[in-house]
Amino acid sequence: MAAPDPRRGRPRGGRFLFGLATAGFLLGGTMVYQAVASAPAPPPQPSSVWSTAPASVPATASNGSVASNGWAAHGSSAKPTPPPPTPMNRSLPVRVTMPRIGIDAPVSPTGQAADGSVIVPDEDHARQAVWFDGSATPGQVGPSVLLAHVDSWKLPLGKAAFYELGAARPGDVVQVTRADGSVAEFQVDSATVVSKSGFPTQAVYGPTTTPQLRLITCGGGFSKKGGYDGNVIVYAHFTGAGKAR
Amino acid sequence: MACQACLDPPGGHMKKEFLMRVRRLAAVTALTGAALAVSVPLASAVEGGVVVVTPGSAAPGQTVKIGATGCITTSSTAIARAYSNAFPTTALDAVGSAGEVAGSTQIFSGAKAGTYTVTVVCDVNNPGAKSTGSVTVVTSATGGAKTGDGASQAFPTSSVAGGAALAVGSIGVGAYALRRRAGGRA
Repeated sequence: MAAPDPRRGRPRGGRFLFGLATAGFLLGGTMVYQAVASAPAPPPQPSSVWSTAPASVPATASNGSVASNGWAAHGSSAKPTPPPPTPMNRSLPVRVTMPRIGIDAPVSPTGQAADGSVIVPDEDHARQAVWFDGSATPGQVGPSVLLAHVDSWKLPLGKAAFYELGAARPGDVVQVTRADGSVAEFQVDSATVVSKSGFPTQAVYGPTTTPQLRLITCGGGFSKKGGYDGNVIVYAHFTGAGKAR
Repeated sequence: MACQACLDPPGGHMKKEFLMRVRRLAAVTALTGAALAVSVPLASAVEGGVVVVTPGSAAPGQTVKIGATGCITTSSTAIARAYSNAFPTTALDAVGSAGEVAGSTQIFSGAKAGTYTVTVVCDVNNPGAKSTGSVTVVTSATGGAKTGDGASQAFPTSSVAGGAALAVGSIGVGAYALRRRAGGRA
């Protein structure tokens, strides 16, 4: 006589359990999907094809025609080489854009920490780029150095101002808007990734005879313990003053 | 011949190149100066020539060359000098007879980064005749930059694992529920 009780109870309990299982399965599946769909992807890194370009080339390349021609340039037979763009006066950078890869960041000046390294923005300001105040302003003769974060926990998908920098290719256009409203335009010569111990200080910060631009962010290998073990460096040369915005 | 282009040119070559740049810049400035003179007649009556510092950006302690045009003077005893906050006062020598003067100097080793005006006076006895240019002192930072916290490197392992565990567990529970139901009917 005790048989009907478990019979009636079992299907109800079974239905409840089954419903619970279905809900759990859907919830679990959604969790996995959400996590994978919104998972941050590691930033792009320069292709080895672009990385092989020696860092020191851009500094002298644009001046090469002058050096090789010497006095010959005065002769009428000299081939017509376009004159190098006239350097710009000093004016601090306020914005940097790289249209093809989608970089667009405000720029503010920064100095050096006690250990000599450039002070970079904190994680709350990882959408901003900084201009090293020991370098030339963009468009002036000399190397102009801009830096920004590649990623930050404070940003969606972790993407910071220079997340896409590693995707830069030779020929890419870089535009730097300056405080006086003018725009200095540059063309990428090479995109490299270097280890932190092998940072090419002279190639990046060393004096040049023409206006140059260097864009720097973190890159290379990553480990949870040591962070990024290198830097992505993009070298670009000045192509002239662009249209003011 | 080809190697001249790729090697660092020796002194003589460098000098030619340098003078050429001075001349070319002078020509450009003369043109723009003429254009300016038309539109703004009052502008820069005193400034005669062009000052070029090579390289135009230099590190503290680095040797730079200073060249200037427009230093045509009748005095044979004219002494030309270059003045700037970036380097000590430098004597310039006449180069050729076209009014060019040139010299080299060393940027102060303690110079701060920035752009400095360079003033060249063709004859210190007649300091009214001068021209100006500029040099940018650049300094170096040490090492690479710490510009990433790895946020984009973090695959959400715990979320994926948790979700997967929940889904797999639910399948188990569902199977158990079905079996119980089937068992109950039997």
